[in-house]
Amino acid sequence: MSAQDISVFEYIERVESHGSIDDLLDDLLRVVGDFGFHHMIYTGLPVGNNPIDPLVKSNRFPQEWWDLYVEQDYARNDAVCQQVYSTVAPFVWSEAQPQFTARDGAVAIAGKAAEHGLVDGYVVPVFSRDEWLSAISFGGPEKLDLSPRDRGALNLLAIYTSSAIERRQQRQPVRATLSDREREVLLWTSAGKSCWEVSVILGVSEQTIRYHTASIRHKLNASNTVHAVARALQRGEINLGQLAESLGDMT
Amino acid sequence: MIEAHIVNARNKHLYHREFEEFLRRRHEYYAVANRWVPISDDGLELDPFDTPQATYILGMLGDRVVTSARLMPTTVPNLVSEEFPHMCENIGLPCSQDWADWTRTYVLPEYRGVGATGILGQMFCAVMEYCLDEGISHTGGVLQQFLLKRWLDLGWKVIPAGLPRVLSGDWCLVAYVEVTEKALQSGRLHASVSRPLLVRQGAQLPFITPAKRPVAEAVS
Repeated sequence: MSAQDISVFEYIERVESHGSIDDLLDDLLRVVGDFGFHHMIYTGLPVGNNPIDPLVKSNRFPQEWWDLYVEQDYARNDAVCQQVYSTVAPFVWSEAQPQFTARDGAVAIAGKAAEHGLVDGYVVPVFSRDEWLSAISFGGPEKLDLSPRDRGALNLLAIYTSSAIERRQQRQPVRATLSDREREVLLWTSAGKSCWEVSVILGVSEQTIRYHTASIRHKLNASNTVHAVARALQRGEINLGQLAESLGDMT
Repeated sequence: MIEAHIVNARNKHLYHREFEEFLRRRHEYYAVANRWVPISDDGLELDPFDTPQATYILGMLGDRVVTSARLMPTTVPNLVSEEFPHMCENIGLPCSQDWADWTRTYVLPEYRGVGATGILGQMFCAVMEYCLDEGISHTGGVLQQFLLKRWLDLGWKVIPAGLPRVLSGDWCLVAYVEVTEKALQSGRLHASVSRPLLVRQGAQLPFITPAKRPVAEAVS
């Protein structure tokens, strides 16, 4: 094994032992530095028109670049981000497929990233612990030429790190969860039913449904129903099967 | 919640129907639908490691086999030793009575859901429960990369035997989970499994031959 391989396996052995997530990321960036990376991010991917920012789990991208990325909503046309929606296979940024690099603005976004020290990178799609499509992405100032072994090593680093981050973050206090009734209301509203219609279906007053929807938005920190559905999915409060079922009459 | 039935050479006759159903469903999926393995004349999917040394865990819901796993001692020919020894560059090829080769993890397509609380999470807990019962210290084998994260997310300590490689288009690696009481507890917590899942019927075959069982296990 090469010295680089050994440093990867040694990192994996100590991945649970860091005092904080920041220490873990410092260590990770030291190890991936050997592969040409200076930066990393671990984030969920947004659905619909929702912003990416609330889905970020750990971020060591240049701050200025990330502020711009969020402000300009680059995720919608960024070829790397868009390709992650279509594949679970890891890839080098500069090898993103033509159908994604051809999107309006994609080339300009890559150019702007390069200006901020992110010339090329490697992204590993993963499913978060709550089954939300996510990715860990490494970036650096040079064009990359990664061997299959390098890629395997980076996959391993990404998977161990992403799981360690999530488990540490989940040790923090548990957030309020939806009641069965609130879940039911959310599923009906996601199927396009008005508060009045839901009140008829469930045989309660319209005011009660309004109370439930307000409580749902508050618990999920969501600004509207679409946002609430997205956050409920992300947290595993509802799953795609239930959602598909509630949408059944629309397909 | 599944009932995880332990099936081996001694009690296989009690599970004739279930075992055949399990092999037939695997054949339908792997051979007929996906063409990953050759179509067999009898419609059953068997491989060279379906030997009397194999222990099967059949996950049943009512009378249906919905999930499965197979464990073999690493001291007899197994999938890793025969096909992927070059993927163990980090720890060397495991060959020990208490290291179990874990293969054929399978969930019927109609029972594959989202979330850690699904059937797959229950099967993971059943495997961990069986390994603890039998004094196995590590279990694992070739797995797709995305499953590694599922293991880690259960709070399991996983040793990568080597670096991931692309096998038939998918990133795979050889990795082994440490079997501990703590791993069983955290697995149950995350998979929402509230009770033991194993069911043992008929004569049982110890995974580790008693004389060769590590001393520490015999004492405890």
